[in-house]
Amino acid sequence: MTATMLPTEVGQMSAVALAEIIERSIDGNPVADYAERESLAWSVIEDGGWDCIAVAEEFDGGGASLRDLVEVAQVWGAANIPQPLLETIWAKRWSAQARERSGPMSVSVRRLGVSDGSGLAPFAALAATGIARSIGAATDEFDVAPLGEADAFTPALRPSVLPWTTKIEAEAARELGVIWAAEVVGAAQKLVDLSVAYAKTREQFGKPIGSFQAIKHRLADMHSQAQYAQTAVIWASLEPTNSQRACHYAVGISISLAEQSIQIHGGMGFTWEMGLHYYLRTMLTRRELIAGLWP
Amino acid sequence: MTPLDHQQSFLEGARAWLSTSVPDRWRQERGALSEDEIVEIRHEWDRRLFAGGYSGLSIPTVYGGQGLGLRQEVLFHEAAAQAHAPEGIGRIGKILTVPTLVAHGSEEQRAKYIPGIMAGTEVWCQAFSEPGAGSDLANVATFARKTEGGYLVTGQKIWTSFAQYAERAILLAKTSQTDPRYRNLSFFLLDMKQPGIALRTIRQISDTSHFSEVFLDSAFVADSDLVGEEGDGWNIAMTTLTSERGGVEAITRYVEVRGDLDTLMHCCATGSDVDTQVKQLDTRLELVRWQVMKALDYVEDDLEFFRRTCMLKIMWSELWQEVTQLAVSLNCRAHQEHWRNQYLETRAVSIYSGSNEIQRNIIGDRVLGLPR
Ligand SMILES: Cc1cc2nc3c(=O)[nH]c(=O)nc-3n(C[C@H](O)[C@H](O)[C@H](O)COP(=O)(O)OP(=O)(O)OC[C@H]3O[C@@H](n4cnc5c(N)ncnc54)[C@H](O)[C@@H]3O)c2cc1C
Repeated sequence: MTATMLPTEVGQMSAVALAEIIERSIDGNPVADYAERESLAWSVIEDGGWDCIAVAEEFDGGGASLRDLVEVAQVWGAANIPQPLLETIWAKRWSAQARERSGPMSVSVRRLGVSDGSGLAPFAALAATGIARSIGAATDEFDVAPLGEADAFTPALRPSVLPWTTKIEAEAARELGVIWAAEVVGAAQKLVDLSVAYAKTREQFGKPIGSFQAIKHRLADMHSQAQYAQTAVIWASLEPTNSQRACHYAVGISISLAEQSIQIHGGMGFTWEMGLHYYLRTMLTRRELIAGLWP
Repeated sequence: MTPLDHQQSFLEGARAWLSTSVPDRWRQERGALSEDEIVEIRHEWDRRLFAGGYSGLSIPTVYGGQGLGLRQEVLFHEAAAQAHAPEGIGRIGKILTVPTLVAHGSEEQRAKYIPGIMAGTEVWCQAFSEPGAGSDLANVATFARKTEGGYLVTGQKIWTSFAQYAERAILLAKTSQTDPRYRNLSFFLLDMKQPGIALRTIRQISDTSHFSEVFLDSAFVADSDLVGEEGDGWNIAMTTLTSERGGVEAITRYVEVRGDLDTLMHCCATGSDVDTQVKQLDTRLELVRWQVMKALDYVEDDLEFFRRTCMLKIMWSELWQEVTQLAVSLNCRAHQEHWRNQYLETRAVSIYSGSNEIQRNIIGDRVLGLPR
């Protein structure tokens, strides 16, 4: 039994500092403004050493634990920035080859519902992204993906279908699942925050809609559900035997939170510009990727 | 012939007609059609319905309807669901404008507008909601100022579905700055093709644009296009909204959900472990149709009818959302595009036509008489 549920100091400080960098680069702009362009340059990520935070200390890395990465991934998920930061952090943690390389990295994950051996690779359509052939084994290798056609459904992840999948060692796959689930949970919490803020300012019948119990109770439930989802990914990070079910649970409930946030925003929530859908699209694709990691 | 035989022969006729009339392209390649093609097919469908004698089944023949009952309307839609028929683009005219004019319009207005709706030659839209008047519809600020022979309307509407295709709109606007709430609104029939009207389409989360903002700058409405009296707007709009959330609306939605659920049952959910879930969704969908049929026996008694129809909007909308939620999670590659689109599109069904929260308030207040 772990003595504390908290991340280490590395995790806490990384999360705070990353949030600041994101804040500076998106500069208060709404997600619809930045989710489809290079809003945070890869050089900023690399210069800050962000890609190496979870490399073991013996290899001169930041030494962040999986629990720490849960913290960082939530911050990243709340922003929905179209860069493979989490994939790269994870790759460098698991692969000596990855540590030798620079630039963004990603993986190709088994697609469900097909039997042709193809994989779905987030960010493969992003220039110069190295896609791992295998991770966690002695023979790690990277391919620089051909600039494949990105699936337009998920602008922030720009996934492409590749004819092969990355061979991922089981423990590494588990960690990636936890990190992606934590990203989704961060997005869900952000949507809850946006919904609360909207309910305080949007007025109908001469009152903020948050004063109606239908909305107040829904938001109270949403807060509780976001808490369960967060607890689930923390649990997933600390207890390997339960990672899979805890991650599936966290992602399922997060998607429901995104749906509810649209409901609270009324017609506005249904508009492209309001941007809630960017998070929802990312969540749906992450759900698919996570399911592909755990056969 | 007994009434049941009548129904049976009506249904057989409808089935035969549908089997030759539903466009193959719609039945087979719906997912691959472009936006323009879809709009054209929906337009054409309205005209075919009319030519085939299936437009406005429950509308009196004097106005170009078929003079049958709501029951035939339900039977036809059931058959249309099985035939995977498209939904006409004239739905606002048929479901909202016509019942409102039948209840509150002048003889002249009925004669002038209903035939074009029936024939599928005039598309209507509903210009009710405004940025500050969504759930709180009585708060509309768009103002209709009296002028020689009519009114000059200025203001902004939002979320106006079909506005870009519409010849006309039913419009709710203020006609008094001093009369109290609920007594200061009037109901108009607005010509959308005039200089005082500008549209800006709104991009939806599904990346399509079915609705618009409508900017009115001294748009003209003739006196003869005021429905009822000045100040009656709110009461008349209630008729419109009750139709919008009522039985005919529900049965047309049944058609759409049936199409989706059939796809799910016959393809995407086969061989997966969600069988029980799918069967339950199917049961609930059939209950929508049976709920409408049950209510039809009470159509003469407003309150009793409303007791049995007030939940329909909540019923079909939440069900449809659950169907697409399940479907999009199943990773059926053959229908991936379809489900992604339907999943995002159905996020709106619990918001439009009055949100489900508002509908629950209405059930609590008007049906159950709970204290406010
Ligand atoms: C796809 C789509 C098509 C539409 N088409 C048309 C159209 O053709 N014509 C037209 O006029 N309008 C149309 N609308 C507008 C629709 O009717 C409104 O969006 C709806 O009434 C909600 O209003 P709102 O968007 O301003 O949300 P708000 O009223 O701001 O509501 C925000 C949230 O607060 C809740 N809420 C508000 N008041 C209460 C309360 N008293 N108690 C409990 N909860 C409350 C709502 O349920 C919602 O969850 C359309 C909307 C959509 C999404």
